[in-house]
Amino acid sequence: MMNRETVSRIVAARGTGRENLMMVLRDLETLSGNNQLSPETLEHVAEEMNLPASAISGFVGFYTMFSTRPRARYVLRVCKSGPCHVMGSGTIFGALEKYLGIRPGQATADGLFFLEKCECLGVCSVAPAMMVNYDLHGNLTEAKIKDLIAAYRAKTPTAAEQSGPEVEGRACVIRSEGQTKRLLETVGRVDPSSIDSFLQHKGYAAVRKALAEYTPEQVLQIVKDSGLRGRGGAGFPAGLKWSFIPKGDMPKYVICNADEGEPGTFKDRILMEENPHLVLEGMLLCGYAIGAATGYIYVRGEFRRAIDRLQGAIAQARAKGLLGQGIAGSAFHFDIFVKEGGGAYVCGEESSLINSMEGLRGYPRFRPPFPAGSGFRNSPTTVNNVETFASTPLIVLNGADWYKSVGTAKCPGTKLFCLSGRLNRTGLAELPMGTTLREVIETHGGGMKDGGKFKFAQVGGSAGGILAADLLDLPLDIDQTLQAGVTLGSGAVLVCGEETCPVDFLLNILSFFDHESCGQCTPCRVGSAQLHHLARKLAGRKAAPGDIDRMVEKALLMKKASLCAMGQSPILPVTTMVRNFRQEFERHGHPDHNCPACDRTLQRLYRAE
Amino acid sequence: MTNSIREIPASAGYLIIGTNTTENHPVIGSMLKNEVINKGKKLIVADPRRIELARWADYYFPIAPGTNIALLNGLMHVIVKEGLYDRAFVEERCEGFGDLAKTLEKYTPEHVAGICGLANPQDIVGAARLMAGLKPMALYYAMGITQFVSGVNGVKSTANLQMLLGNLGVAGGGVNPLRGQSNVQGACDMGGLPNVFPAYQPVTVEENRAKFAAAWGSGALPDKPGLTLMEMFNQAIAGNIKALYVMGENPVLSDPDQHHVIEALEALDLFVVQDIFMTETARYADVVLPAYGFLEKAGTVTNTERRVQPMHRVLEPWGQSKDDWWIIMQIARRLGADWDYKDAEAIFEEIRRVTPSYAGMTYARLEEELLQWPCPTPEHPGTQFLHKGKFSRGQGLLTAIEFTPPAEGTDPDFPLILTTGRILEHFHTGTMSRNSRVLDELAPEAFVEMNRHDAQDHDIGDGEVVAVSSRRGSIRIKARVVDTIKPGVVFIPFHFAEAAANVLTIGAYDPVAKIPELKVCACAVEKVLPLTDTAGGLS
Amino acid sequence: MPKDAIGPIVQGQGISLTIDGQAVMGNKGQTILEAALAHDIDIPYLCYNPRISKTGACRICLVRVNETMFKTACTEPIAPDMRVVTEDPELTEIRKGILEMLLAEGDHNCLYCDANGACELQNLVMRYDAAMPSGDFPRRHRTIDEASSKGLKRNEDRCVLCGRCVKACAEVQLNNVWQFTGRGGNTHLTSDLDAKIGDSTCVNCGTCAQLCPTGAITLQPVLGRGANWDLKKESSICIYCGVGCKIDFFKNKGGQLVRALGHPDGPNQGHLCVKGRFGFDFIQKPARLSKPLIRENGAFKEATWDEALDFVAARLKEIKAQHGPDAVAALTSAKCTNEDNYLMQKFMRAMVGTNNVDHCARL
Repeated sequence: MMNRETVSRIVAARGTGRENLMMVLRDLETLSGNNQLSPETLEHVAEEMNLPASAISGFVGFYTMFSTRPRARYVLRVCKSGPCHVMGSGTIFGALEKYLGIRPGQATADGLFFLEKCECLGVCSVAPAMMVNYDLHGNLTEAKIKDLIAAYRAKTPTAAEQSGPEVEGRACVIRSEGQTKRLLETVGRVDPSSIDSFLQHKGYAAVRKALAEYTPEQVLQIVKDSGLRGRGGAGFPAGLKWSFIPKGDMPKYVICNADEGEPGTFKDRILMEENPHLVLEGMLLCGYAIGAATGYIYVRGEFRRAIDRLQGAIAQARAKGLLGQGIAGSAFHFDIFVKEGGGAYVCGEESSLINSMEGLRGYPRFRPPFPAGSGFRNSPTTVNNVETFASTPLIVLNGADWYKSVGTAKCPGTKLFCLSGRLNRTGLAELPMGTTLREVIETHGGGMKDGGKFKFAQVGGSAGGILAADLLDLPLDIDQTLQAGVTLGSGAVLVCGEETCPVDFLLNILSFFDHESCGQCTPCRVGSAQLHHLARKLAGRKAAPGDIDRMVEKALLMKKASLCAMGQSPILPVTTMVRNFRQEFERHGHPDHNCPACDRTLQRLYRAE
Repeated sequence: MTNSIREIPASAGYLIIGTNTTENHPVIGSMLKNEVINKGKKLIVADPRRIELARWADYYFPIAPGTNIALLNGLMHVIVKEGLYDRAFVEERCEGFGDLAKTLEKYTPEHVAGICGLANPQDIVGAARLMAGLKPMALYYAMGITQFVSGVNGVKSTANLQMLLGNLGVAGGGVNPLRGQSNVQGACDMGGLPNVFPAYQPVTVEENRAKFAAAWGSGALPDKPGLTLMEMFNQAIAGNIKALYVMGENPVLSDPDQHHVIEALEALDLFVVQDIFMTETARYADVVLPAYGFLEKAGTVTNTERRVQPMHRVLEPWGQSKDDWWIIMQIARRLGADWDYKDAEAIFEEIRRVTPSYAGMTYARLEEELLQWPCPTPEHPGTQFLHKGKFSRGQGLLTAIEFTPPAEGTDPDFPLILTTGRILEHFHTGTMSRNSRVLDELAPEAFVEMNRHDAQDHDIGDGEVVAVSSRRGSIRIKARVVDTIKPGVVFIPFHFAEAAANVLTIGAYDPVAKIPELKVCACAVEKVLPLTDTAGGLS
Repeated sequence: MPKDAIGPIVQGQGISLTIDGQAVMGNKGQTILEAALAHDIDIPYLCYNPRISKTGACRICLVRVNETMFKTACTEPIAPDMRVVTEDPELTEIRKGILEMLLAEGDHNCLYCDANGACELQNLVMRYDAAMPSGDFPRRHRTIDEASSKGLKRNEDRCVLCGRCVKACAEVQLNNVWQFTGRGGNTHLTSDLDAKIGDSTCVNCGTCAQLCPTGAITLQPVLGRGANWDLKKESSICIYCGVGCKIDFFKNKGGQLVRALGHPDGPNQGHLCVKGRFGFDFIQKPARLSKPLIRENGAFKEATWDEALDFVAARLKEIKAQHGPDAVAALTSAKCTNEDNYLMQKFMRAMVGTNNVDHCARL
């Protein structure tokens, strides 16, 4: 039980401002010993932070990592998102049930383990995966589950938490010929826990150069000239985005979007874990260019190792005078702080992210006003992706022309591709923009796993389109994918073979959107639930004639009417999936259709819903 | 109010002193909260109870009841000493600064903290500096400033502060008393006071009497100011007042020292009560006249910001009840008057002729326009805030005022200070609110609020029945033990006839305004031992 | 909405645009919806309300801007030469689709709903001919709590999650009792930390109910009941404190008071407190005095008006004659009108001949 003094101490340590709510709750949940935020605790929090009780309730109810009910010492969060689904997460639930006797939502009698289903954990190259409190474990098999459970049973509660070696960033980088390594050039050579190591690899050289040689306007111009486009998924020109920030002395904020939640995407995690200073340096350059003095990195709460490395890097950078007052002896002041997410995909949307940083439910904001005019604390704010920021030091250091020397005309530079699914090699590969899906699969992914047959790939995460064999030679860049009716998105490439049933796969995607819709606007809130229901009917052989078309219609209404990009997302997977596999979909409408691929997962994974 | 409710958003900050706004003027309270919570405006609160607004205050002063003037002087001490006052405003528009400054000298933060019972004198300095930077700051007060033997001085002190800060005559500033009754402003405007005709024209001025005598076609009008409410009761007991006509008031519950009031009523030869219910007061009447309730009436009322608004008849009259003005007119006619008003509007037309501040208002305009007095001509748009450019008396008078203690201090027999007031769900004597089902169910019973430490000292638990006594009487009431009231102070709402706070309160009053000191008297609280079933009920 | 909420066109700030082909002038910073409403152009909406900040969540007010874009009229600022279409077949289809989603999500049975006939959702469902839900989609059951609170009834099955109640409590009453919790299709209201509304810190101002576009949050009946279309409305001024809130009172066919809603044009700007909202049924309480009473031998006896008035007048005359006018005093009333007060002081001064008139200004 959490007493008032404990709450008071935590609030004092984290700060009474509403912006600190996430961290206060995170700390208290950890301290609870059973991963619970009890109503009494929350009452204390409301009083200590002088916040309405309803604000706490609404906040806790939004972020899936929190629970007001008692759980257990260890919460096992087993991922069921796309890549893990394809790689057999269903078997993991079965194994856990076998060893622990619990299903999702249940705790073991000894109070040690509580099982939850969760969405993407960002370690998709080692799918299937799960998280035990904050420890990530991948490449799960029944045997490995058994060992892990035994290890946690034997672990003393105070023992340091530890993720498996397979999720270590550098272990998730593909070693293949023909990559164009820029962002990943030093990964594995730079010691991420040492700023000196980073400095030996041209670390902060771009910032020093900019401060010594360039005006803020010139830095902005270089980034504009480079043609760098946002790497979070939308592909908006980064320099142009920065140029929207008004001039003047008002507070301005640089926010790094590290809420990497798009299923199949894990590039930002690896950059933060392996090269945290590169991200900080990119933010510094942005701050210099737009006249901001404060930066925040909003990292999803699941990325404990990335958070630790960033915190360490920030502390070291401050100690070296590379963050704080008068950076590198100049008149430029800039500092960076880490904010954490609490389990909400929608917080990857920049205005939701800002609300979340302010201690609010992660509802997207309508626009205008755009964040550039009124973002964090209603001040001008630019939000860019980790990969985008990490690219800018290289651009400033080597010049726009160097950057444009690879990639396509309208999409210069390299792109981090996150390979997952039925491939011989999964992990991160840095390739020029415009690399074809065939090259990604065959050259870097090492071909289909176990010599299987390619059936389709989803590129860009759950919001991405389905590419069947006919698009294997499509150059993957931002514009050409759009022209082909798909998307590059975050760069996730989830490859599926004949083992994966398209209907089952779409059900998985639509259950994801249902789970992650914020619920604010009508079309997305109701539409996501209805799409999920229709997909469930279809997969369950209970579809009515016309249900396939109804799915398309619902998704289209969501596309037209939703408040943010999230509600506009299902249309792409739904239409591309139906376009490619309409016959299979129709066959699943028959009550007695036999599809071994989906029967394996259906009962296990979806019975509780 | 010198200023308007709709100016609340125009203020940079607020001093809330002697008003529990969110309970007693909740709609204004919410507007203040919106500015403070949602828009980051500054807030300074002074009250013996940690009222809701204190939760968002930049500075909160839990002052002892009756020490407002000391606190205001303390704030002004800092403002003058540090040169934070609005020099241009004081020099151009005010007089009396020298005397005031001299008086303020001894009100150092430490001295004031001692008087007010404040732990941290430095807060006075901090708040004064904050207030000086708020352009403009609005000051709101209510009966927590006025219901003292030093009530008039309290009001003058609030004006001193706002003049020093240059916060008068500007939108979003002002000295803003929150009136407690729907038409207390109008009743005053209409001359429902012993010393003035409508629009505050003194009865002692020959010219005024002549004007009204002419307008009313009456003989010579009395030139001697009449008795105030408190004096009426004293004089009834003394045998000098023989007849009393009470319209829509309940002094048995609302006035201090209930036993004294009842003694006065019983001494009368004729006591007429005109009301909608058989109130605690009406029980002592010789004649009870049933009047319209508010939803049966048409007419005008004037709110706390001097805004005159039309009331419309919503309901058909109850039983044989009659409109108040009709009843007065009928009695007047029996005394020889030739009055023949056909409706309220006819009376209003007469009001306009004799009340300069209302002269420009008509029923037609009031239906369409937002009009605040003064509104002297039919073309005048009304007055959103007073004292723009210059004060009505010319120069604003800064008055040197010394703190004086309340009439009754505590002693070993009566060691606690009793303060009284209202709660959110009820109103005044409860005639209306306690006869409203939802309100009655929400707050069905009286309570005495006391600090946890005092409760422990007296071995009193939350919800226990206690006896609260003063030199004037004793009541039994449930204890509500809280952390939010200043130790040594207890609070009783005066809505409840069965545990009437005014059995306890003192009949001391301000020498000028004759306002009773309802906010302070000495009292004792004792645990009442539980009675067994056979021992009979509580008294 | 009150026109003055939009205000006149500020010189030099005017923006000209067309709405449905009609040339319209608006002010910089205005939204399409505000500009449209100022010109009596009807754009349907649910989450918008002029008393609270913009939400943009219901998506009903979606309009077509410059031919190709859909924008919510309630959030999109007007721009020079903007071309707005408020209704076309595609917009109608979208609105109908959204309404059908809302119907499927809730349980909207007008027969049993307090808002029947005064429901903004009902109006839109009729206007767009939205179809009754097929029952295909499962519905999450939400909280029904019609008894815990003295002031409010909550039936979230009728909720459209527009958020007006949340903002009413956060921006008008500033009590922050309501908030959304949960997420996605499981989004629902909570009061405090999931307390029942009657056990929460709600102060029963009723603003959430007044702003609720459906029957999800309604006011507990005070005295009478009646179908909304049978109620008669008249405004007056609250009888309690000195703020002078303007209130719309509703009475039923039998003349009983049914409810009170804050009027937007009063000093209260539509807001009320618990007393203004619920404190008026005393006026129809049987204990009301209905006949004049004269005390005879210690007990009250009913009298006619003439008897009572004659008695009072005669006694006043006697006392005045015997003891002089200053032996008479009167308390006028801060609860009565200006006209009543004026006449009382005139009576005392001109007819009795004394200035002994006062009232409870000091209490």
